[in-house]
Amino acid sequence: MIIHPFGPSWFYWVSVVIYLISSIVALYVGYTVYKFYKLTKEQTYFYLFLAFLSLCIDLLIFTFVFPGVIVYYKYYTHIDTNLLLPIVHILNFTYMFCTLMAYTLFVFTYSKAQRKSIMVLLTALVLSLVVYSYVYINNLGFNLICALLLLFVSYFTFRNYQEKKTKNSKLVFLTFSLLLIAHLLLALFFWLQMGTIESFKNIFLVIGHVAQLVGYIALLTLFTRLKNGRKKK
Amino acid sequence: MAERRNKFQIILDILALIQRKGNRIKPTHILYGSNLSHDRLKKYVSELEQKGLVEMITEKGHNFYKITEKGAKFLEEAKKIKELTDAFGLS
Repeated sequence: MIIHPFGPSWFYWVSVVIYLISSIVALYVGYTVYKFYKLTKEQTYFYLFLAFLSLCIDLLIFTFVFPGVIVYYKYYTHIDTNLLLPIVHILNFTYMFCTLMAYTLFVFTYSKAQRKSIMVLLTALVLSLVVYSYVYINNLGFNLICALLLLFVSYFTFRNYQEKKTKNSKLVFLTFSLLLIAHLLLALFFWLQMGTIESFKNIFLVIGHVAQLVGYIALLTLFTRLKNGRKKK
Repeated sequence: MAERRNKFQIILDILALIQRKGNRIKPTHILYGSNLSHDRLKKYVSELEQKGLVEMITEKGHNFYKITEKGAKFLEEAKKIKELTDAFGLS
C-alpha cells in the first residue's frame, strides 16, 4: 500500500503537509490529555492519551514515508524494491494497527466499559482487523472498518452535543464526524480504483484529505479554547 | 439523584467553593457547601493541605481556609479538565 502513493502527483506533497499538520495536532492534544491524566489519575484520560498518540504515529508514518517513496522513485530507482519491501510491510502494519487501535480506544472510552475482558476482546478484534486488512492489502476494507468505528464515536459525541449544546461539544462532534467522512471518501476512492470509473476518483481522495485536515483543525480549536480558558457558551 | 462524584470532582468542588466565597471560608461552611460527611471532608481537606493546595489562616481568632497559589493553578487546570470532560461527554 505505501510503496505507491495514491492519487494525482500534484497532490503528493499537499497530502504530506496535511498529514504533518494532523500529526502535530494529534501530538499536542495527546500531550495535553496526558497532563490531565497525571492530575486526575482517571483511566479514561489515559485511554484518550493512548488514542491520540496512536493517531500521531500513524499520521507521522505517512508524513515521512510519502516523501521517501517519491524521492526513491525519482533518484534511487536502481535500488531493488525487494530490499525495501520488508520495511514497507512493517510501516504498513504499524499504520493500520495504530489507526484501528486509536479508533477502538475512542469507542472503548465512550462505551464506559470498564471490564478488562472487554478491553482484551476489543484488542483481539483490532488485531484481527489489522491482520485482515494487511494480508489482503484491502484499503477499501480498512477504511470502511475505520468509518464504522468512527460512526459509533460520532454518535456518542452527537448525543453529547445535543445534551450540552456548547461550542466545545460541537467541535468534538465536528472532529469525529469529519474523520468519519474522510474515511468514507477514501473508501470510495479505493472502491472506484478497483473498477473502471477512473475519471473523478481523485476528487474523493482530495476531499477526504481536506475533511481530515478540517477535523484536526476543529480539534486544535477546541484545545486552544481550553488552553485560553474561554468561557463556554 | 445526583451522580456519584469521583475524588477529583470532589477536590474541584471544594476548591471552587473556597474560591466562590472570596478565597476565605470557615471550615464549617465547607462542610455545608461540599455535601460531604464530616469525616470525609476532614480527610479531603487534610489532603489538600498536605499537597499545598489550601492553607489555614487565623484572623480575629477564627480559622479560615484559603487557596494557595499552587491551589489556584491547580483549580485553573481542573476547570479545563472539567470543560474537556464535558466537551467529550466523558462524565
